[in-house]
Amino acid sequence: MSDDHGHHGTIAPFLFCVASAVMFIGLVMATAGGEDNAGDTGYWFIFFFGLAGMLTGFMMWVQDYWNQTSEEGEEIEVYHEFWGTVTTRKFGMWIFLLTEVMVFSTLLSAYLRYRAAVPDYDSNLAECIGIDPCWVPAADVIRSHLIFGVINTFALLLSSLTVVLALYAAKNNNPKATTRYLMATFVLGAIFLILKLWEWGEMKNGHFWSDHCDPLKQDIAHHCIAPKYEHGFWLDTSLEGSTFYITTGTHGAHVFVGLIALLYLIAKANKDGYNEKYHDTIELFGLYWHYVDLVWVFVFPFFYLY
Amino acid sequence: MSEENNSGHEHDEHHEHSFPAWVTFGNIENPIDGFLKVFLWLVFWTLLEVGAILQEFAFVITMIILFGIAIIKCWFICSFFMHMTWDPPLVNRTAAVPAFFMAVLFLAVGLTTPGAVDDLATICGF
Repeated sequence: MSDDHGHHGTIAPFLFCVASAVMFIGLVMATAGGEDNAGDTGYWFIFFFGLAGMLTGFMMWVQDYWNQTSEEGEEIEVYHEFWGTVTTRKFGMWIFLLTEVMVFSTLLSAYLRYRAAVPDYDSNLAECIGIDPCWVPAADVIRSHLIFGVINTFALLLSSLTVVLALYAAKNNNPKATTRYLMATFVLGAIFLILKLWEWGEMKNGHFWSDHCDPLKQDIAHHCIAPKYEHGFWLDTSLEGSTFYITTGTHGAHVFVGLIALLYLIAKANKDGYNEKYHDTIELFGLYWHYVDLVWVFVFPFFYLY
Repeated sequence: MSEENNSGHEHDEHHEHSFPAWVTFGNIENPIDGFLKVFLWLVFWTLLEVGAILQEFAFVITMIILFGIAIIKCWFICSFFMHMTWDPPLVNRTAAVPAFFMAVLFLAVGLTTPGAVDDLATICGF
């Protein structure tokens, strides 16, 4: 790398990742560690230590890139034609997405595995009353609130479009439009999370369960789903709840991380930080955001429709 | 920036303007129009997805419809929003690795009957 190049790399991402790992190890041990798996409060220190390291790494990372005005990593393009115009940062992002796909593949295949193994509730209703092995799809629980899932789907699809438009605005040296499109993406992502949290609250508190429900009759239109969810549908209620909340929660966490990244992008775009020559970061964020959209493309039908 | 890099970017920019005609219902001048059409395609497939599930088809038909539409939407997002159509082969081949992993998990674990995963030899056709 030549001396006049704008950026010389940073240790911040490495620190961020190691500290994140420490934080999660601390969290798991503090809540579920110990001999009886009831949690060991001593590990909260590890959790907060990791959290502090993660925030430090994050701030270092932001600081390193805040004043950057030129592309980096371009030198890799001349190594071999196979690399085309892929920069190290872009290739690194793809490797990151590669690992992310594996995370969600595991969650979704585990869910499909359960669905294939356990008979559905509505296929043999009478035998399922009071028996755990019958599967009540989250889709049936949500069916009366399906419109919010559909709105969320359109919000994410539209936000994918606004990210693309932000990138093109930056390429056309239009910082105001770039900021506006990034803000639109943020608003759409926030709508997604707000609706998701509201939906979770409704399901957790059993608001889909009407006072007039007949336990022997599944009547989705009138909020009568299954007796075992009379008092709510939550993470520890059943296997259906575990798979639903862990998968949608993991996805929601990715949206939340995206919103934090968007705040940085909006702030930098607002000070004319992206232009024809420097828009790499928006493109890389776009890859991440499209991936989040992509996951929802699979989560939505399997948890909300079927 | 080197001369090679300049030519590379020009090549990239040129290809960013090309969408298949069937996606955009004809030739387009502005790539933004192309992305808008891709978005409309995604909306169309989503509506079809929701409409299909309200028909209450059999399990197999439902799974085929949901998987099929999800894969189609996935293709639209990857190809155009994620620029894979215009990216060099390295990106596509990198993306193929997790796609393969996902397919194996779905087919060998997700959609098998209980006990089947204990018999990998049968799954692999030995």
